Amino acid sequence: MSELTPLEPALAELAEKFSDYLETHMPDVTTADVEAMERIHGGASRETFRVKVHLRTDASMPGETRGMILRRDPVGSLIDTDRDVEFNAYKAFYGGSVPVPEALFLEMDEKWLERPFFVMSEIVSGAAASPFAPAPYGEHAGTLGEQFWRHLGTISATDIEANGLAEKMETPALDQCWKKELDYWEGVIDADQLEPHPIARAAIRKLRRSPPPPAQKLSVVHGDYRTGNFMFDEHGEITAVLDWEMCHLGDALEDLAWALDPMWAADGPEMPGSLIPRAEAIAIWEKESGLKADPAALEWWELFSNLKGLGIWISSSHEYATGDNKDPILAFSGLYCTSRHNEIVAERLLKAFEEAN
Amino acid sequence: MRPEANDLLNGGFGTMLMDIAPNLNATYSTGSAAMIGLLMYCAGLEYERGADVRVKENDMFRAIFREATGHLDGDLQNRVSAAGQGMDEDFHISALNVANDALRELLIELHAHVEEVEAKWAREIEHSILTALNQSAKLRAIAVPQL
Repeated sequence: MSELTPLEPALAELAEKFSDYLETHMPDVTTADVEAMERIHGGASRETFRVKVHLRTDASMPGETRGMILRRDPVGSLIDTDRDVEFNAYKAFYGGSVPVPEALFLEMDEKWLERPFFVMSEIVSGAAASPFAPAPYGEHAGTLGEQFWRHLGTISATDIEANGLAEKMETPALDQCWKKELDYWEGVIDADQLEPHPIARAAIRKLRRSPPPPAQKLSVVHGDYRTGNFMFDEHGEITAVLDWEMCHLGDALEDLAWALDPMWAADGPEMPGSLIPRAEAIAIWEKESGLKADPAALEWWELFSNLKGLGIWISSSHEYATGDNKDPILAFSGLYCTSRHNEIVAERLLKAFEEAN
Repeated sequence: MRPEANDLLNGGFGTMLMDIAPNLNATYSTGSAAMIGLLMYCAGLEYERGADVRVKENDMFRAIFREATGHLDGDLQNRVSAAGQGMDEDFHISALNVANDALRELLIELHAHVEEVEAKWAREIEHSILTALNQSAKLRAIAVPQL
C-alpha cells in the first residue's frame, strides 16, 4: 500500500490489510490505496466499514476512486447468519428492478482480515431512516411507500430457480415453511434467554396449535424487510434495499408480516413503516407478487413476526451479557425492543383470546 | 443519596446526546455515544421503578396461583399452592429477580396446563394470565424520548 491519506487511526492496520487484499484479488489493479475508511452502524450483526479506495491499473495514469462497503464478521453478533447468505442474495438481485449494491468479494480465509468478510459497492446516493422515528419520510412517504411495497412484491414473485437461490439455499416443502421458521426461532429463544419469557412461550404454543395454510409458492424471503433497511434519496427514490443477512426461501407472507410489524410503525399500526396505509400496502404487494394475503394466514405470520423479533432481541441481550461484543446497540435492542415486542405480543394474545371466548 | 442515581443517569443521558456525541469525529463513535446515552436513560428508568415493577408482577402472579390452586391436583397443585402463599421480603433487585424468574417459570407451566383443559375455570385462569402478562408488559414498557 502507498500514500495512506488520513483515516481513523484505529483503522490504519485494517485499511492496509484491505488494500493488500484488493491488490491481490483485482487482477487489473496495480495499486489499491485506501484513502478513507470509517466504521458505520450497518447493524450489529456485522462490523461495517465505508471505504474509499483509489485504484490504479497503470502507475502513470491518474486512476479512479471507488466507494466500497466492507462487512466483516464480528466477534459476537446480533444475528447468527452465514455471510454468504447476504452475499448470494445481493448477487441474485443485482441488476434487477429491486435496487441492491453490487456484491464484489466474499472471503472466508481469515488470513486477510482476521475474520471472514464480504465487500460490496457503496450506494452513493441516499440514506436510511430510523425505524423508530415518527414521520421519517416527510413529503416522500407516499411515493416511497408505493416503491417499498412494490419491491417487496417483486422479491416475493422472484423465480428462485432462475436467480439461482434455489441451488444455494434450503428449499422447505410448502407446508413446512412455517414450522422450519418457528422451530428455528424457538431454538434461539431456548438457547439465549437470560430469564423466563412467558409472553414468548404463550405465543409459541398458540402458533403451534393453529398452523397457517401451506405457502402459495416457495419465495425468496428477505428476512428483515422493513423501514430502516432501505436507502432513499432526496427525490423520494429508493436507491437500495439492504440487510439481506436473514434471507432464505419460504412463505412470502413472512416478509409481508415483518414489514407490517407495529415495531416499525411509529405512526400507528395502520401506517406500517410510517409510509402508506396498511390496506393500500397489502394491495400493492398482492398485485406485484401475484399472491394473496389471506387474512387468517397473515394473522399467523404477524404473530410469528412479533415472536421472531423477540428471538432477535433476546439473542442480542444474551450476546451483550455473555459474549465479547459490547456494542451498545445490542444492549439497547435487548432492552427497548424486547419490551416493545412483549407489549405487542401480549396485547395480540389477549385480544385474540377475548374474541374467541 | 441526592441527586438520586436516576437523576445522575438522566443528566448523563442529556450530556452524552447533546454535548458529547455531536462533537465526536468518527461516525461510529457518534452513534455509539448516542446509544450509550439511551442506555443511561433506560438505567435511570429502571433504577426508579425496578423494585416496584418486580413486586407488582410477583403479586399478580401469586394471585393467579391462589386462584388456580383449587382446580389443580398433584405436584402442580402443590407447587402452585406454595408459590401463591409467598411474599417478597428482600427488595434487592437481584433477590426480586430470583423470585420473579421462579414465578415466571411456574406461570408458563400453569398457562400451558390450563390451555389444554376444556373447562370454564380453565378459560378464566387463562384470561387472568393473559391479562397479567399484558399488565406486566405495560409495567416494563420503555418510552424512549423523541430526539
